[in-house]
This record gives sequence, structure tokens and C-alpha cells, in this order.
Amino acid sequence: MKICHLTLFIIAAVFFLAVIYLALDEHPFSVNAQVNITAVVISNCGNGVIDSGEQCDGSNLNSQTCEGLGFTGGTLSCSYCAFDTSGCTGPTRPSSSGGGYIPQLSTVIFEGKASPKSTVTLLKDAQIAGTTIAGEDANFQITISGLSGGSYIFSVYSEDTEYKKSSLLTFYIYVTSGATTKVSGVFIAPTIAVDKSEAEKGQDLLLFGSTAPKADIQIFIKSKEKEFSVDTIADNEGKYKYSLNTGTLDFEQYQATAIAFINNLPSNLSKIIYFIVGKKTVFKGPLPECPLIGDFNNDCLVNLIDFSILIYWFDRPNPPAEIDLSPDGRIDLVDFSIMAYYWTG
Amino acid sequence: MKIRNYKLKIVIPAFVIFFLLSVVSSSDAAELFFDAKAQEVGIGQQFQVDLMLDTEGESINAIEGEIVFPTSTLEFQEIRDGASFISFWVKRPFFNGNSVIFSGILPGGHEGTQGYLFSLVFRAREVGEATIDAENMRVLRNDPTGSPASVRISSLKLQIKEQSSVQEFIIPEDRESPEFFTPQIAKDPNVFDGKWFLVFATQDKGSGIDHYEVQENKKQKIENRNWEIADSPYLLKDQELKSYIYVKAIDKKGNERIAMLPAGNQPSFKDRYLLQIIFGIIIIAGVAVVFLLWRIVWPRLSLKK
Repeated sequence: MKICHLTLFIIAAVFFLAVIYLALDEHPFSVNAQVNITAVVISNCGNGVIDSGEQCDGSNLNSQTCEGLGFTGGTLSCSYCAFDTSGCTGPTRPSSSGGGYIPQLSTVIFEGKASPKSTVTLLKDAQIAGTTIAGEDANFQITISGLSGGSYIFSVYSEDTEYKKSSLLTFYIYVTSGATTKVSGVFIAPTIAVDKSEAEKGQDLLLFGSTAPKADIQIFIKSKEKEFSVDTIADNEGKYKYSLNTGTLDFEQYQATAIAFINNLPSNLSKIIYFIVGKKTVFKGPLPECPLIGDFNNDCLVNLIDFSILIYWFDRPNPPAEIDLSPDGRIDLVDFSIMAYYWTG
Repeated sequence: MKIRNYKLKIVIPAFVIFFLLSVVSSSDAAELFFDAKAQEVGIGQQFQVDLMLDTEGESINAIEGEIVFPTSTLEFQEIRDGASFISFWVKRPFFNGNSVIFSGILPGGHEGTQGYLFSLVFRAREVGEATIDAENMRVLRNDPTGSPASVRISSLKLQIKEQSSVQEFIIPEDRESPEFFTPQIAKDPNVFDGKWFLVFATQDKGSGIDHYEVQENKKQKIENRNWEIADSPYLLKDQELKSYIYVKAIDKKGNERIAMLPAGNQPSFKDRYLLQIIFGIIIIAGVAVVFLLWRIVWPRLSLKK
């Protein structure tokens, strides 16, 4: 009898434990693969020879055409030793030959110059794909892996050691399945800032920023009535400054933007900053100037979260004033455009 | 100066008007145009038309508009936006009955002659001429104020014939999943009354993203019946953030990519295993009842007999 009782109890206990085990047998879902950041040797982009990792070099397209990449026509060109398909028409994808399909993953490598010790951020389709720190020589390298073949929009920008962010430099790149694409010779725009949002006429106004060491800087200053440029040179640490005498300027608002040159090769244009020549002096606050324009959640970034906040209010009545970037009492494409200009990913 | 020559009275104003018009038309304006492989198709044939933008030297970062076409002669088939230069759609291109409406931005801006927005696939219905055009177009510059760029539209005229030697367009196969992505959780007083919400976005390099689905689960497990179609931003049901969140991106050919966010606040043992605990108690209680019946009730019944 006792043995039967014991057997029954054991059976029940085993059954209960089995139920528990099956219920607890979770099947964790692996998060998708992450992108990698590695270092790569800088190639000799611009020598007209297709070196290892380069798709093309200058006018040498390695006999490739738009049609060869799967487009319907157009003109293929070369930018930073990678195919520039912005001149190709009607991209199409080749049909599969059937059977099981295993996508071949690709890698893209970006290398170039920013400002020394700046944080360089790479965006893939406007979202952060990787970051790295530029060296003391201002050189940087970022690798992104695990990509499927196709057209991508990559952007790079830097944030210097004084928290100033550069403008975005954007690339349209066709990534070949299973291959490594190298984009070399990238020269990120200088950062630019001004010490006063308003300068009393006659006072000096300081324009400053960071770029590659010893780069030549040209600063374009423009108002409704006037347009001129001034030159300066970055020091050994990549810092530049220009003291602008406002005595000869009219009472109005001005905008300034800068471009850097190394060996006559230009960077892209910097962000546009504004200042006023007026009757009083107003100093700007310390950097970083957070929140940025479009940075609704005050995390010093303008990204998908902020975009989603704007989407929430799209076509809704009475949007909050702090979200209305235009400001015109409604959220429309203009607000999104302003946000896109200040985008950081 | 008094104009005595009557002919000049006509010629000079006409010349001025012509000059002004030529200046206006040749000034920097982005051009929206359509690219089709052929200018004629046969009845019943499928063909693709690409919507393209030439920024004419301007850097632009936002565009919206409406593509119109005659539904009497053209049967709309699908939209393909997988390789678009638009990074984020404010309004993903959608078919509105007799037009396709769209709105989107491209952070970083775009400058070039062949900016690709998306493709429309049609099937020719009947013989005649079909014009594909654009209306309500807005193109904004990549500058701090979102200033408008002027845009001119080059419409597309197609001839539909009984038969055509042009090869029919076959929609390419797409067997690749959308790109990897990472959803994010956020909170903002101006959205959903300050409640937690989810944001997500990814790209598909083939046919384009069709829609997203979301599910929240206290266990680290996907329940196929729990998927809900969702847009970003998405109001989370579990405001205590104890659930695992799964977001599925689905392209227009049904390929999927699922991303997971772990539970922000780990659910307690009781929250995660409540069902199992209850079930276990029922089993033990059931066994105990059977045992008691067998030990106490059955012998009594047997004795009575």
C-alpha cells in the first residue's frame, strides 16, 4: 500500500515538474546582428588605380556601368573611390535563380579626416550605425558590416572636443552583395560657432571652430545686402578662429558658413550660423547648446525619437509651441525639413 | 519716352514679357520628372515608371506631392520604394484611388540630377494616351529655415497601343528581409499624454516596407497570434515596461525582420510564472483529491457492498 501511495505521489510530482519545465522552457529570440567597428589601412584613393577595397578611382570605373549594377541606364561616376549611383536611373534588383536564398552580406569602410580627437558618427539611412574617435592627426576609420546589397544613404559628421557638431556629409552608395566597399578621402566639414548672438556695431565678433590641423579655412559671411569671405588657417590642433570687426557692417542679421581645404581638396560646407550686428552685445551660452533645434526630448540628439514626436502632431490641431519649428501654428513639411537640417541620428 | 512706332508698342512689351518668362523658366528650379523604359506599351502590359528629382544644384531635404494618372487607361499595380533616397516617410507613398500621395525627408540633404523617389507599376487598360503628372508638389531646401525651392514638373505621356514590341516589365523578386533595426522606448509630455511609447523605423532595399507589427509579452517568447499592426510612435500597453517588446518589419513581398527590446523592468517571478504556478497547484490538488478518494471513500464504498 505504502509503495502505491509513494508511486502515485512520485508520478504526480514528476507530472507537475514536467509542466513547470515545459512552461519555463523559454525560447529567447536573438537580437539581430550588430554592426562592427574595426580599423582598416588607408588606401591611395585618387591615384587613378583601383587599389584593394576600392570600387573605382577617379575616372577609372573598372569597366562598370549603371546597367552592370542593375540599373536601367544613366551615368555611373566615382566618389571617394566608391561607385556613385546618383546618376543612374531606375534601380532594379536581379531576380533570384530559385531554391533556397542566402543573402550575401557586405561591408563598407569609411576613412578620412575630421578634427583631432573628435567623435565621428556614421549614419546609415539616417540612423546611427557606428562611431569612432579621430586620431591626433585627425584621421578616422569606421567599418560597417552585415549589410545586404543595394543602395544606401550614408552620412558622417563629427563632434569636436568642444561639443560643436559639424554638418552632415552624405553619400549615395551602391553596396555589392558579398563585397567590401571602401570610401576613402572623406573630409568632414569644419565645425563653426560664434561667441555672440548679437554684437554691438564696432565690437569684434569671434568666429571659431575645429577642422584638420593646418587646414586653410574660408568663411563666407552673408546678409541680405552684403556677401564676402575671410580666410584663416587652423593651428596644429585643428582649431581656427577669426575676429570679425563689425564696424564696417550694417545693422542686420548675418549668416556664416565655413569650408576647409587640405592640399587644395575641400571639405563640405559647415553648418550655417547666425549673428546680428546691432546696438547691444549678447554673448552666447556655453556649449553644448542643448537642446538643439528639433531636439524635443533634450537628449542632445535630433533623431528618430524627435521625428516620431513630430509625426504624432502631424496634421493635428494646436501643436505645442516648442514643437512647431516653423513656427506657423501647424506641423507640416517645413517643420520636418528644419528637423532634417539639424539631424544628428 | 513716347513710343511713336505702333509696332514697337506691341513688340517691346512682348519682348519684355518673353525675356521675363525665359528668365523665370531658366532660373534654378528643381525638376520632378518621370522615367519610363519606353514611351509606348501594349494593352494588358505591365510597366514601371520611376519618379525622379533633379535638384539643379540645390541641396534639398524634404519633398511631398501627389502623382496623378488616368485610371481609365492605367490600372495601378503597386508602389516600389525600396531604393528611395527618402530616409523617413512622413506619408509613405500610398494609392488614393486615382493618385499616389507621398511626403518624406532626407536628413543630410540631397543634391544631384537623378534622385530616385519611388516607382509606380501600372498595367495598360485601353488604347489611348495616358499622362502621368504631379500636383501639389513641395520641395524644401536643406537649410535652417526649410525654405521652398521652386520646382517644375515634366509630366510623362504614354501611348497605349493594341500591341507593342516593348518588353513587359516583370516585377523583380525580393527575397531579402528588411534591414536590421533597433526600436526605442521614449516618453514625452507632448505625446500620448506623457505615456511610454515605442519608436521604430527601418528600410527595405527591395520592394520597400509594407507595414510594421508589434507585440508585448511578459515572457521572452513570440506568440504568433499576438501581433498587432502598428505605426511609429506606438503607445505601449504595458506602461510598467515589464514586457518584452517585439517589432516586426514586413516588406511588400512578405519578407520579415523582427527586433526585440528586453523588458525595461524585469517582471517578477510571480508575473512571469503565475499561470504555471496555478496549474501546478491544480495538479497537486487533483492528485490529492484522487488519493483521498482512493484511500478513504473507495474502501467505505467497498465495505457497504
